[in-house]
Amino acid sequence: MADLLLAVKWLLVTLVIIGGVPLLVADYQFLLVAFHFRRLHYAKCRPFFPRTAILIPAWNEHAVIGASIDRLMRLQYPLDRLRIYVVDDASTDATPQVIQAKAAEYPGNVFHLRREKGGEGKAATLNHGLEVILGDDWMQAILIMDADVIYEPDSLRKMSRHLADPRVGSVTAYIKEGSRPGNYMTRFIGYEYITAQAAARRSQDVLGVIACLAGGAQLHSRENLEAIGGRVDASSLAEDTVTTFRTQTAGRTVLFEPHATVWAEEPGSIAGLWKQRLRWERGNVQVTKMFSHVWFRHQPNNRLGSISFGLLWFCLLLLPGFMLLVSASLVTLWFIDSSLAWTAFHVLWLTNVITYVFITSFALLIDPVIARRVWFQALLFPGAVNVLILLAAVIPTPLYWVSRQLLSAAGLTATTGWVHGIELITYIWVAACMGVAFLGKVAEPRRFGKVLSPAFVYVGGYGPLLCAITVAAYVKELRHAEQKWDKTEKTGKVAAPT
Amino acid sequence: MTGDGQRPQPGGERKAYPGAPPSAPSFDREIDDAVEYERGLAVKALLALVLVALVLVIRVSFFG
Repeated sequence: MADLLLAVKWLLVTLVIIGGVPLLVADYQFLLVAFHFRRLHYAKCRPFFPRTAILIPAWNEHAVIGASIDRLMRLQYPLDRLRIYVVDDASTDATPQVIQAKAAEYPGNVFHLRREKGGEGKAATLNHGLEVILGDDWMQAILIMDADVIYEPDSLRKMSRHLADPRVGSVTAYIKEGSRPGNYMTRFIGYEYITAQAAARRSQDVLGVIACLAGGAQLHSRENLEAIGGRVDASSLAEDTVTTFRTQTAGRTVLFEPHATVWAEEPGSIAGLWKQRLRWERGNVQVTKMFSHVWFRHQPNNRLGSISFGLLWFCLLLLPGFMLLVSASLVTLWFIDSSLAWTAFHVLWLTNVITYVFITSFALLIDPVIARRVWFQALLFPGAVNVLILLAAVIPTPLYWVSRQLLSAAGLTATTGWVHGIELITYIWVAACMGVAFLGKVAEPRRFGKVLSPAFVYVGGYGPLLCAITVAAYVKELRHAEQKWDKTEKTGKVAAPT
Repeated sequence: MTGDGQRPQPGGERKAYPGAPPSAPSFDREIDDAVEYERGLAVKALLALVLVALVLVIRVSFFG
């Protein structure tokens, strides 16, 4: 019996250690960024201006599409080598009129493609445009973008210079959150994009494999587009990721150009974020299944099957599972051997401290301009309670003293029972923070939602909120819920800094 | 700029972006700047690691 108990204890400790794997993988990913300068593709670049068709899917985009076209016409790119095709997906607002006016203003550069039957999703809209564009041989490269994003004037030429190397199939840019004036949510997203785009895509570049071309900024060579069938995938919710994977399985390189900047308007509410990310996360689950044959298997012409890339992909996809695993293991261990549970937690949390300090400080240094706007959200990305626990792991004595003073002021004494109780709550919190962050979504449309909703996110954490969305995506996918394209609402609040 | 980050030999004609406005930097200059920035990230990573070390030293030295 004693042996069995000992075995169970060590099994639980092992599970807690396994729960720390995503932290180590995150550290590894950020360490790779430091080596990006050794894997740059610039030696194979030259000034290169293929005849580029810009494809913009548009549904009810009258607020943004006119200004977007005007900005594209000011790109540092030869205008005789640029055509803009706007696929109007049966818009019911003034979008067709705006596009037609721009087509008249820029004859030979702007084209209006109208779908009379819309609502079939972004992929179907893109495929309509691709069919037309591939129908003649003018186009040598195609830039797929969103109607609202703002391209910095030099961004397209910085992307196209990589296509001078015929092995390169696609290039993506650095998408930055650009809503002005913005709010707490857009600032959280602003920081997230430093980690998920500026850092993650650099590290993927180092590994020689890119997980996803940004949907709003993907430049393909004609050869690549034809090699992957001349269409984007319409069967999943992640057509951009599928295109990225197909490009690489077809043997072409996908690159991230961090110095080509594109500004995007991102959701300013939890409801908007939830809708957008649920689509992305379900799409990622679908891609994982669709490309089940590549994971952790050697591929002759790409690095999608590498162990490093597999770890990066699955640690992110399974992060909520890791959090639940750690929480359940610690709680069970607490009942069996609370001091061992505390030791295991302490080791895990010190690893967490290292990860938090390294990633947060490095991410803010990667993009100091964005960092000036989002440093507060960066610090509270894991949630205020988690940050407090992190602090307790670094400076335990002062925090214990403060706790005792607070308890004493409330007329209470810190007994052993209290301490054990707080330990248990801390273990539960590892997973419960997702639920608390989710409460922000519940509170948002209700009375006092404007105050309560951000409070829940700050306390529970933006990171845990994203994990909660991943859980919701699993549930939707398991239940085979209807797969519909919930477009993110855009208002034209995005602005590039001057 | 070569693949292993070496700078090209000086004296070569600097390439420019055709079609770009006169104020746009030359191609080589732009590439040099990008490479410098990427090299700087290695230093920034080192700074972040120093910060991590500092936190660990504080933890071990003052709080056992």
